[in-house]
Amino acid sequence: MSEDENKENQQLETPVATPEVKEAKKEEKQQIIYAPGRKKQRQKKAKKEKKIILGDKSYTEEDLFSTFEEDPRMASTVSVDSTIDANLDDLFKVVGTNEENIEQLDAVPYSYWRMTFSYLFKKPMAIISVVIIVLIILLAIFGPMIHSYDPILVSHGTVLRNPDGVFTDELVGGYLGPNSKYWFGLCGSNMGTWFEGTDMWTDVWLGTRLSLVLGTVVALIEVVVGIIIGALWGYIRWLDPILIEVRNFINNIPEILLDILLMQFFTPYMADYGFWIIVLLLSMFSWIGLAGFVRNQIIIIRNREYNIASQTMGTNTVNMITHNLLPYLISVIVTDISTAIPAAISAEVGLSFFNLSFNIADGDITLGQVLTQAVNGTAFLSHPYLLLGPFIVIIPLTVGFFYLGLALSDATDPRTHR
Amino acid sequence: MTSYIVGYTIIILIVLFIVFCVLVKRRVLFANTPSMQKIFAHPLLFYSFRRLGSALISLILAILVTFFLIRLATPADNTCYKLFYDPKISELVYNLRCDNWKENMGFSGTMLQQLINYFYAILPFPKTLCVTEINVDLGMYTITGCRNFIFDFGRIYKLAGFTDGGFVWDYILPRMGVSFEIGIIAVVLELALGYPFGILMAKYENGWFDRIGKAYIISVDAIPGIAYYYIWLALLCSVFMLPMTYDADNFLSWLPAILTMAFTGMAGIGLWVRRYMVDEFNADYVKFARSKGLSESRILWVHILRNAVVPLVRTFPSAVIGALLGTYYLENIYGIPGIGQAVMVAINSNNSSLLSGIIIISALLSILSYLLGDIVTALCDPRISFTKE
Amino acid sequence: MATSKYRNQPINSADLNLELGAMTEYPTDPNEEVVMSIRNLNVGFTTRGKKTHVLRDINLDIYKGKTLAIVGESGSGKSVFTKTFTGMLDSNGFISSGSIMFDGQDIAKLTSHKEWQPIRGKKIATIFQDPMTSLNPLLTIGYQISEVLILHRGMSKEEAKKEAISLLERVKIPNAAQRYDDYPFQFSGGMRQRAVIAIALACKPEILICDEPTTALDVTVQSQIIDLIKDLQKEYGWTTIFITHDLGVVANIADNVAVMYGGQIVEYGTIEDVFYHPEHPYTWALLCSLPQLGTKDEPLSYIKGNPPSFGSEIIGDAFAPRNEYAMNIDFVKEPPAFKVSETHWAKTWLLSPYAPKVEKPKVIQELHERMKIAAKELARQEGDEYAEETKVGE
Repeated sequence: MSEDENKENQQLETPVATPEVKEAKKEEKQQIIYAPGRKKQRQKKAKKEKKIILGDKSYTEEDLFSTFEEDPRMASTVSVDSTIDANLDDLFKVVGTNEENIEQLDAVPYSYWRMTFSYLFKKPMAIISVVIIVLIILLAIFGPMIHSYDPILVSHGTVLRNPDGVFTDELVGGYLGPNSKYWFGLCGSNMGTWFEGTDMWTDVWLGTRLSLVLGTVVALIEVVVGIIIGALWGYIRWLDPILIEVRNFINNIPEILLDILLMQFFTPYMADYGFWIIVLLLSMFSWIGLAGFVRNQIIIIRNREYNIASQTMGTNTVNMITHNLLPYLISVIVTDISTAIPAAISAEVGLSFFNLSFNIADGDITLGQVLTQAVNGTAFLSHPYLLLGPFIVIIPLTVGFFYLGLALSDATDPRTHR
Repeated sequence: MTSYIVGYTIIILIVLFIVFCVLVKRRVLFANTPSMQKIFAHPLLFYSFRRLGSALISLILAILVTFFLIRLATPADNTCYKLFYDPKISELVYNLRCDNWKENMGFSGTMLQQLINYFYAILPFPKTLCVTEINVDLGMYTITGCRNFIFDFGRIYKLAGFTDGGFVWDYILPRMGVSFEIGIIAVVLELALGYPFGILMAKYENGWFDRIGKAYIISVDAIPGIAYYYIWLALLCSVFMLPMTYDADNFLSWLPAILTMAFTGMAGIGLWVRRYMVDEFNADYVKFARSKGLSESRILWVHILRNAVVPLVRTFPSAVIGALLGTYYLENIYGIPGIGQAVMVAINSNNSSLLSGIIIISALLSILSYLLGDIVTALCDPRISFTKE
Repeated sequence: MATSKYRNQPINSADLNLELGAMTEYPTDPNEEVVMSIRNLNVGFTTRGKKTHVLRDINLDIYKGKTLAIVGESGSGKSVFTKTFTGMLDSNGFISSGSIMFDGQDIAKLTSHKEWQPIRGKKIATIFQDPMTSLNPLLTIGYQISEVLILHRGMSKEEAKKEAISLLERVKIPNAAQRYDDYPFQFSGGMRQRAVIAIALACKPEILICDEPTTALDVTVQSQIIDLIKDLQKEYGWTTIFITHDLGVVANIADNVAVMYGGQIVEYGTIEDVFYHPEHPYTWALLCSLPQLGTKDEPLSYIKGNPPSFGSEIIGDAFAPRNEYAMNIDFVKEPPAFKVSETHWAKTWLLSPYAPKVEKPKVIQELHERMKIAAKELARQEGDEYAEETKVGE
């Protein structure tokens, strides 16, 4: 006790971090571990202390030292890593087994979601991806507001035309590279009349808004439709051959060609229902992957022998399926959404390449539109800044979502948990 | 005339063969001759039949969908108007042209008649088609140049550089050739690059090469194709000074498209090769081979690679046949006169027959490559021929 | 109360062990030639940064031309043990100390696959448990035998083919010449294992390690394979190390027996020593649990509890929690090896002169008689099965 007092005194006198002070602080820290709420650290410490189980009690070395009088079975003091103070007769006394201790299992408490998140956030790429995505979403929401010039005309991003629509002298053909005023530069004449002369920054962020919304909606629809159809597919047997033919069809016909045909049909309706038409085109075929997966899982579960046994005892098939499938499915859903969003964004870019996407004149711009117009002709070779804006957004966004999806699929897989 | 006879005879013979095999299998014919049973009732043969049957259903479904979409999306009268309307010509001529067009394109008659005609046109029966010209002076058709075709995909009108009323088949065929030339070199290159890529990634798993490789594969997968192709364009054409437009005589101008396709395809192949090889690394037979005293390199090249490649062999036919179909984006970017560009052309010139022809051909080729993939796998994996029933 | 002598002595001191009656060194049979000698071997694994010891303090001599059987439950470390001889530990395994002297070198020091190549297959061959997955499914059986012959014995392709066919005939595979070109999936389970044995003997190794080769096979095929191994051993004169959990197989094939538990060899001796004079409580429990040795009115005995997991550190005797004869000292101090005879030792505190005399279980006391009864019963069953087999005509 006096030792501790000395240490405390030293602490008061010399606030400098002498070794003794450091030790004292360490001890203090260890003391704090015993405060309520620090259960995990306490458990770790207990393990470190090497408790010995004798019969139905467990002892640390200190316990044994002090309780040798109390316990009649162990009339000796034993310290695991120091000395033996032996009483031979008692040491060699036969004591046999204890029912409770035998059947003790060495199980570690396990929480699925905690392991998932700890695994996920240990990966630096996953964290970077989340940061990038959040950043882009924030910029998409606030970007045009930060840096647009005419708040009334924000929805069109029109900046530089005079009210009578004439260019000022300094902007020949509208090309102006990034500078302090227009961070991504100005759109040039190769990008069509709607884009020409507009601020690339505003355009890109407006496009991101619509692309992200589009992507999320498509991903959600895909997941919902995929699961429902997959469940029906697995559960109702006569649907099986039909949907297999549908799947063959989807795999064999190039989607873009069907999109072309459908757009020819939908063109007059684009003005009113543009958003939903594009959503339809993008989600038309993408649900088949998830549906097939769910169907396979249901068939596997249905055929598992213990389930057949359980059914003979009267378990409802639906209960069986939901009980076995749902927990597994959540991880699949999460992963699927994170890879479906960049897939939808990419598909939309593909559509706009063929001029099948939104009508620019209506004011709906997407990232695909911006990119397609930017690479129109050969202007971008002499004015490479045109690609700067779209690429800065598209590449981190898609790669980030993709990485996140991969990391999630690893993290939610119970086999990687231990 | 002869082609008709030959064509129809072949078709009847094929049908008879299938019927014969089924009868042998059901022991209606040759019930007691084991050798005949073995040959004509072989499980692999019937497996192929079954696959063919399912493929045919897919094809018919594709044809039906295309048929209805074309008629839904581009009603005949509207297209006729867009193509032929000219205030200068008389109404009579306009009607003649329209009727001629409709007949050639299969738009005349009721829906049911159109459907039957469409099937007749598309399915591989031999048929004779003629180019009809409208003689404005005489106000009637003249028939010039009849030829025999197996497939009739329709005609093309009002396309610059192509005879009015020419056959879609004539238009597509040379374009498939161009696409194939470029595509096959790209396929060979991507296989030659992709396999070592995947093998090295698997061998030094979690090493620096593996990590870089995985990052590359992710970037190829995630980034939208257009963006990706333009990055390559900037790299190849600005940095390496390769020409930007395709020129049939200048091989250098072929390179940007070939290289882009090869490097893109390499990622997919590398991913799967790596995956299958890593799966095999932990197999029991590898441990046994190691305990036999075989060197690591022998285990890798003789044992592991062989087992890893077998599931991959399935994709070879579809890669080769896919070269026939070209890529839509690259051909438009570099101006290559292949099928991909034909799609753009079809949209811009309102030639729906061209589009439907391309769709049908895509479906046919992809079904074919799927079947071939099955056969190739059966050839390479000794287990399959025997365990199929 | 003899306490004063032992105050303040480190618990793990070897002197204390000696005081308590441990033996000083492991006995070696002077009449036999030693092929491999293992001393103080400790093997560990690193999982997630933690080091766990799986094999502790292994001391063993392996005699030429004899069969050593290693018995133990799953998780006792027997497979890890044999993997160490061929350098086939998983990548996170390591030998933390000890030596394995074989053929004049310490093979515990070898690390890379290249260094191991001259030994694997040529000097030490291994047969694994599941013959289906041991063979490469896409290569013919003949190829898999020939490649070993070409590699290790330098034969040409034709010579290798001839030799391979003769090997297949030696392991009693019918139609060996046609079977040469067959794939593994065309063989039945027993024939596959024979083919694996043919591969193993292709290079005429000095030591053959059999890692539970009969566990995955039917009982009838089991005895055929064991007889085959015994025949081949007599003919080629190699040393066999046979790993199993089945005491019946051990009785059939072994000359020496090592019983493993918790990563240690707890008892070692000749087959008479271990079966007729077992000294370790674990061996008693194993023998008691053989159903063939039970009598009609006795309840079937079994060993309660679970084998130790290697995640947590083991204090004292690993078997103590399940041991009916456990003593206090078993919970605090690991028992060293005690000598029973020139060929027999066991690691149990019961052999210490300070330990009380315990009464062995009834089964062990009556072991001789029970074994005779069981042998008669087995012969009768085999007679019936043999009659059936010859009727079917395999």
